[in-house]
Amino acid sequence: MNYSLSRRFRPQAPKQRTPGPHSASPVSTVTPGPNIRPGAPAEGTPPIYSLLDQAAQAPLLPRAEQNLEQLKVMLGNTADLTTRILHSPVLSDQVAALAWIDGLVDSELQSENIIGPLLAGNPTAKKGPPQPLLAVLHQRLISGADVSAGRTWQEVLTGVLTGKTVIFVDRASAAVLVDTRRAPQRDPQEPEVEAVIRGSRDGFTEDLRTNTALIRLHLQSPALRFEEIRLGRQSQIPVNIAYIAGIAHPQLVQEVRARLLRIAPRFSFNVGSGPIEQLIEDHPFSVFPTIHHSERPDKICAQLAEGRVAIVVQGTPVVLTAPTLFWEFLQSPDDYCERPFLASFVRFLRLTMLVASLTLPSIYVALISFHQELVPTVLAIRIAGGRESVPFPALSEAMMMELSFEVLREAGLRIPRPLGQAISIVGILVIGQAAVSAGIVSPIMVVVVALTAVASFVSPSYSVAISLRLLRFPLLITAGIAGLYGIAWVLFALVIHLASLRSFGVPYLSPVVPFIGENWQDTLIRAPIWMTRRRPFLYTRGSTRVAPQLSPRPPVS
Amino acid sequence: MVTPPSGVSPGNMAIPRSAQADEPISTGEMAALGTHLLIPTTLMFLPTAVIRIAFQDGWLSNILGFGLTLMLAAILLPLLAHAAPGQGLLEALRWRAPWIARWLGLVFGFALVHLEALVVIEIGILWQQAVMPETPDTFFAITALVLAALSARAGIEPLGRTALLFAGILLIFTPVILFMSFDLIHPAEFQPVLANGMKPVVVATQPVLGFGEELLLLALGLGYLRPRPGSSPAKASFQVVALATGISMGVTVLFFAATIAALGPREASRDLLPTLTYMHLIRLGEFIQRIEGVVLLFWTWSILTKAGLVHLLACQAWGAVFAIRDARVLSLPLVGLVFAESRILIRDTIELVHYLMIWGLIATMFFLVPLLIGLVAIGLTPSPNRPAPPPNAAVPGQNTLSPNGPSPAPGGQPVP
Repeated sequence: MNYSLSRRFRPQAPKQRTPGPHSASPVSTVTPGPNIRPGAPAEGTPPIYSLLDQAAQAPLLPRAEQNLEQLKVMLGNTADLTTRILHSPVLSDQVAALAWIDGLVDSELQSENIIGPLLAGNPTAKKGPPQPLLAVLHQRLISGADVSAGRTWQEVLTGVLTGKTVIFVDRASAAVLVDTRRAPQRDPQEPEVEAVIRGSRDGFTEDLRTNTALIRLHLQSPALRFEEIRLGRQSQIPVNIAYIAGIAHPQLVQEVRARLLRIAPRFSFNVGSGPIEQLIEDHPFSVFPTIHHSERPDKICAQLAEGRVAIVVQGTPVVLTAPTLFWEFLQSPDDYCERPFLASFVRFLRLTMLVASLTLPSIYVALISFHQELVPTVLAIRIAGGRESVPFPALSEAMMMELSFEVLREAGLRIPRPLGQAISIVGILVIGQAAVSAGIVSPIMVVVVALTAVASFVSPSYSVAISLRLLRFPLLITAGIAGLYGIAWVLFALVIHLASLRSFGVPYLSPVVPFIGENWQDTLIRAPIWMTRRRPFLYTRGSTRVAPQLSPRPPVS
Repeated sequence: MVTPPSGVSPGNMAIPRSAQADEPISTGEMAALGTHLLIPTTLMFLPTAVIRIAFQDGWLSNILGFGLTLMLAAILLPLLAHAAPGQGLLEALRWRAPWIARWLGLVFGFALVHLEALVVIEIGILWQQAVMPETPDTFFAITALVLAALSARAGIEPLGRTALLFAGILLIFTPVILFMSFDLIHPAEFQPVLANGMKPVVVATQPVLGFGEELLLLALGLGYLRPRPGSSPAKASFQVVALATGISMGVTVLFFAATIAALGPREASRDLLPTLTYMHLIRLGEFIQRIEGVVLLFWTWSILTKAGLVHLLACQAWGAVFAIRDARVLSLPLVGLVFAESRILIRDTIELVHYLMIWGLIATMFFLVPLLIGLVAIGLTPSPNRPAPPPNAAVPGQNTLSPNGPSPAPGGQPVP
């Protein structure tokens, strides 16, 4: 269908516009003309998107300046779109129209590779038999490394919005897209929330290609694959699926691909990997995360080597991995650098602390409120002495302290860093001490809440720690109502829930339940590396991870 | 680069619904379910019932009773699995003799409702006797029933996994608890004396057999059992029976003997929950004492697992009566029935103990005899031309990355 974009996107009278949630945006002034049949836009899609969809599939116009104008119209005359019109001697003084997004391109690279050759002319371009203009530009004139042709507006828009410079030439059937990207980005740094002692010191950044390069650097395998999917009809967020062919199960890769493709046409805007995670997970109403994430390339590479699939998203340093098992939240890259006994001990410690962070306040409330006879006599007397002046029941006291602690923790995160530590210390020490002195809470309650807080930080994963923070409150309430029976009741429901969870089809609690003995070598215990022979068979092809007879031996004399 | 196809809609690529669909469970998970069917209530009331009849020789009755249980279950369940592979009793009958399936479903339905009512009463008694005497038993009954209904609604797979997890905890803690109580044990207290000959021992076998026959209820859930590759359903069901009975007998006899040895037969026969009293005595030095709080937690989890399984089987039985395909829809309605039964059934703990002393007779009437009738009916009726679809058949679109091995994938290859 050959139609003029300028005709189709003509400003109309306000009465013909359909007001929508995006009507305040700069592009909202673009409304369909009388000859436009918008078709059947998807439910909830703003009209401008369906119009842009139609326009994006259209071919380019014959004149360069017309194309430039249409590009401006499509982007709503956005302020950061920069254009330039050149009369290039090497193109027989034809018009070459350039457009790019200011700030996304390297101007030096652009001058050297595009504008310079176009204005000065390339002597080699004048020799030889006459060639099509595009071929001349593509093969002889432009010295950029990545040069491609954009034949539809969709390709042109995607190129321009990702930092390429587009060149329109009169009577050309396609535009030339030259990679001149230099997006603002930071260098890889060690992630603050996943610090390790002996692991690598690099971390992902917000740039997709930097992240894939970091993975490639850590895992220089020819079997490492990256597949690109663009999310969103308009936003076109590049997302890469990473996996190791031959290790990751093909059905798992297909499942990840299918779930991303399912959301791709409807995904509107990217605000990190969180929305993607929530759109493709198995159990959207569970408090437990069924997709793991990390900012550490070494961790992601280790997971890829175990047969998992990673999802790298442009614009966020957080890389998602699937499937995720509960026991992963107890594991840290440091475990593989330490002796197996120490690593196993630390994992047990983490599990114990995870359970403690969930149950400690509720056990205290249950014992104090219902089962005093279960507390050793001396301790019971001490606790009773401490609670003598407290006017509240144990449940109210615990709820107050837990809520106060959550408020302090949240405040500590939001306050500027230099102040944050001071506020946390002031909050915990001064307010806690003042509360005890005022007789609002008992000293033992401060100890319990402090221990719970410390225990919640032992887990290497922040996401599971916050899940348990949330569950602590219902557990506290049931302990206040029904004592130990209430705790048993909630924990049973929790185990049933955990047992019913799956991550991309893989049971969340495996290999503990369902019991898969051969995969226990790297679950709660961390067996010596040479003993961890098999990869997890539920989501890999069950291949061998470590060859047999790799156990270290003294030299043969 | 993979680009989204233009016609893709969210409905075209459904997210696998494996979490909602029942999948077969492994032999270990089924055996763990069988273990929780036997152990928690057996440990609670059996010592009182048996010691009152056989005194310190009661643990011999335990061995004898569980031996008979093993014999019965090891014959009948593999027989059923052989006659109707991949199907439970009522399901197999539904395709062969529908009217028998309905009648047996009715019998099993009432029997299971009765059993579940007993279980929720027992939870209340346990907590009231142990640490919460003032909390009304209605509270325990309602909360336990709600949880049983929710876990039954979740399906056999989460229940099986939960059972396996708790069975592991049980197996770890049993020797630890016994080790901690070495100083309490007086071996002379449980040496067999047979003062009145073997008769009391044989008579006391009756309640043990009653508790043991509850294992026969697994016949209703045999359709969920998935044998290992290369194994037959009959062999898998035999393994389930052997494991469940073996573990239950081991744990029960050990605790039984330890309780008699610690409390003495006279004291134990006067106590309603002698095992709990025995736990109460255990202490290690000055820093570990009063461990019954922890034991109560494990005990409650075990009983709740049993309640969930019984509730699920009751749903199946009533589902056979009303010819409902996914019987789990009956999960919540059954709560009312079980609650009503539990309120009118037993008024007094002593009455419950006396009732449990004839539990062998009740269990034989309502568990063993219907199973025998069902087996005979299956044997007499020809197998249908079209085999019944097992309840755990793979659903189109279901995730194929199953923990239990391959399952047909829609257009895909089975998982190796």
